[in-house]
Amino acid sequence: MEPPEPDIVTNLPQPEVTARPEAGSALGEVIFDMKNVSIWYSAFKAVTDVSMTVHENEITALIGSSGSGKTTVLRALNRLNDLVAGARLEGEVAYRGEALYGKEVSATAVRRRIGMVFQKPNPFPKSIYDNVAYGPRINGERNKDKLDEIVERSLRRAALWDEVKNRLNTSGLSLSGGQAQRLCIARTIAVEPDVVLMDEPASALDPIATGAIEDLMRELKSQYTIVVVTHNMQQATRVSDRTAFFYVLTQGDSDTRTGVLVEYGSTEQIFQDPRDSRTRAYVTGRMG
Amino acid sequence: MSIVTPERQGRPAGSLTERRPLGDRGFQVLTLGAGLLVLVILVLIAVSTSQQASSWFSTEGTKIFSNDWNPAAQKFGALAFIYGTAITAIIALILAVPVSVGVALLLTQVVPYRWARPIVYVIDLLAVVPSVVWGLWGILVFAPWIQHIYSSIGSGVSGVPVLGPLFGPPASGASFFTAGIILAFMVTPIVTSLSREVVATVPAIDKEGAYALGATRLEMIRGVVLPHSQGGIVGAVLLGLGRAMGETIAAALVIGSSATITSHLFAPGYNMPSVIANEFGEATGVFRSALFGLGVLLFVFTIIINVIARAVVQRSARRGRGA
Amino acid sequence: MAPAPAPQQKVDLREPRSWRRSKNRIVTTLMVLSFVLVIIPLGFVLFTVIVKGAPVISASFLTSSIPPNVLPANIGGIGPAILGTIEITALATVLAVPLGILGAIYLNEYGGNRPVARLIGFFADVMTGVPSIVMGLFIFSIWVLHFGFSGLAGAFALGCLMLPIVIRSTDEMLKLVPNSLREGSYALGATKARVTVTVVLPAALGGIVSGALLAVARAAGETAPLLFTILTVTTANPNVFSGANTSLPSQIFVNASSPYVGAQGRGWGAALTLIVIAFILMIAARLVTARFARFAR
Repeated sequence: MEPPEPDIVTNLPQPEVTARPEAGSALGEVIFDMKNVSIWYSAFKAVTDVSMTVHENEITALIGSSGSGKTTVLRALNRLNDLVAGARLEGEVAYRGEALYGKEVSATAVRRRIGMVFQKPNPFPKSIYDNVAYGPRINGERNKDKLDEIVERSLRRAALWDEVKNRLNTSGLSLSGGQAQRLCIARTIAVEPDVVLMDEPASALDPIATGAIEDLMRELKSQYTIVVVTHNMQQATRVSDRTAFFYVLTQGDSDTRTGVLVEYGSTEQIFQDPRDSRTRAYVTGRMG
Repeated sequence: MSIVTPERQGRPAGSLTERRPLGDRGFQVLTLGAGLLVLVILVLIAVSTSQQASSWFSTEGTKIFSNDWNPAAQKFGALAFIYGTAITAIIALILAVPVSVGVALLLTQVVPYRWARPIVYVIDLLAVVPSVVWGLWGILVFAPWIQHIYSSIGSGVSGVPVLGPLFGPPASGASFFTAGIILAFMVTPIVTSLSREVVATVPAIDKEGAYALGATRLEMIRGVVLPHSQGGIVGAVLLGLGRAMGETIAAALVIGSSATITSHLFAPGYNMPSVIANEFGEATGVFRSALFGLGVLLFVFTIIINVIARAVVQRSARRGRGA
Repeated sequence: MAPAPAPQQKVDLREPRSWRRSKNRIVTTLMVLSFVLVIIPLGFVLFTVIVKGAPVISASFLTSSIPPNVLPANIGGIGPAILGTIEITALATVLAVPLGILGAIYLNEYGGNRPVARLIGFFADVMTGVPSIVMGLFIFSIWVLHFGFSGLAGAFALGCLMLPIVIRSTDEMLKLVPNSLREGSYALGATKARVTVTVVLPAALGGIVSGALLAVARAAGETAPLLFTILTVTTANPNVFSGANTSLPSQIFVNASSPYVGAQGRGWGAALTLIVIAFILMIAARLVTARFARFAR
């Protein structure tokens, strides 16, 4: 491991941050607890010193402009960054009290509990049935009846069953954008994860499909914990319980950029009464 | 309409700390082994053929490069075959390269995209014809026919200074030059397809820049396409050279099977792969060892040429991307 | 103050008649000529093979045993050679294709930029240029000298020829599989081996099969590797693992050097058969590519 790069954010203004949401709102169990997390891609420090908690059965939104590190933080939660050569994380990430990046922890086991839906729908070039059954199958489920049941249940939960129940054997690639994304959601929940991470799940979809996805998110909340990255503020206000605002910090002299967490609180508070000036500028639309 | 069935089992059982499954690790080892097989085979080829050739190397010593090949008298100087390999390969390249590069340029710069595909199919057809069929056609049809042409040319240039020794008599259908022609046919698809790949990567912006200055197509090609692709084309030519040197069966049938060094290209000759193919069956002792030795030389030459070719292509591709 | 308008000059936009223009024309013609030069010999060979081979071919020709060379072409046939080609090439395919695919998987999914992977990739490319006769000598020295001639030895030699070709073409196909598919599979908690076998390979399957078919076509037509490994005989040998054998290209080679017209006639028939087999494999490869491209979209 190379020695850490000189800290480029020595003059980082203390973010006026509430890393823990204010008392009074009913707090579910802490699912994720991030303390001073910084993430590098080789020599580039993508995210600096993020501390926040995510609670059970809530939708937590990560918002901010491009390059502010929100997707990087999201992908750290299911260790998908491990796939990128040169990616490195410092700080602590606890999942239900256990260290997510502990030495003995298997990334594969992590991902079976923490699923992810991607920005661009990526159905496998297999049939709709096989797409949804893929996860259960690799977890060892072989019983045909059980698989049928899982597939139907997942597709129903993803609000896709009625549209595809008569063509489960057709290719997953034949679905429209919105349907394909719901298929990916069905695929993700078919393995009964604990958490579902969503990376701008509706950004590639038209408004009607977007609405369907948002409805789905609200319904899934009762069963799963959801963390969603979105650059659509209206979406954040529509679906999320808590919102974290990320910001790109530039060192003027050295032209280095990194993402930082500026403010985190209930969605209502972030959007109606933001405490940091940068948050205010973003949510009122004065910043891109 | 969705129904969220409220039966959740609670969070998934088991801990996060699973060992990496044996199957996953085993699979990685398996694939690595398969890949290493390439290196292992190459090393084994070098070792085993050299071993078989060792008695030739030790009995002849440096005389392996002499021009004295007489198995009956236990003489195994191989210069004639090295000469033959070089000559036929050079002839093949002289004939094939201009044609191949021309077709590559035709396909990428001149022909509209829709017509390019059928033409590529035709080139691929050329590549699919097996070597032995080229040889069969070569010796039974082509050689007798071209012998007449050789004779006419031969008598025509009989006394002439440079041309005489090159193209004068003897004129045999099965000869260095015929082998060179057949090899050219076989090498063309490779050089064409590799040149095509290289030439196709010239950025359109550069080409448009030349056209915008009022250049004709030829000027654009000379000024932009060729400088950009010359590394890659050199690599393609070298690969063609390697192929021409190693191609055995077609050459064996049409080269004339005569171990002589002569400037007369229309005379029968011999080259390394052909003598191995034709004589191995009956050879024993030092004779067989000599043939193995020729195989070693062939292996070494083609490896060197291929390594240089790949290095040249890689370097020019890297430079092209950086440019 | 605008300058006085220049005297009216006609702007001539016509094609300048110049040496530049003619040079361009000449070179274009030369390029077309090159293409013609490529087509002519191909056409000639195909034409000759068809004209001389077709009269010889019949159902009995394809199944009868090989007669002595001196007998005329309408007696006997090349049955043993066809059997030999099928069994030897099939065995070589079974040996080389799975290993080639596994090797390419290593290069693409596991090796990355590691020195071992770069070495393997480089030398796999170099190995495609090793003359096929060297493969034959190699197998002769490490196998035939100890275990004798057999179709198996020939299959080993052909397999050595096919291995780097399959590695190379499979590698290209694996590179084309978009990373988003892999990520989708990882995100469901699949191990790398699972991801590769259940998502990446199926996605690249069309291209892999097509590449393998082309390698088979190449191997079926090779003579040199078989010269010293199967000891071309004229009797059919259904046991590919022991005993000398024959194949179409080997038989053609022998017949081409024969002075007897009968043998030469059988040679043309065999050549036509071989070319048809190679073409069928090539067309199958194209069809597979086309069909899977449609499926993937």
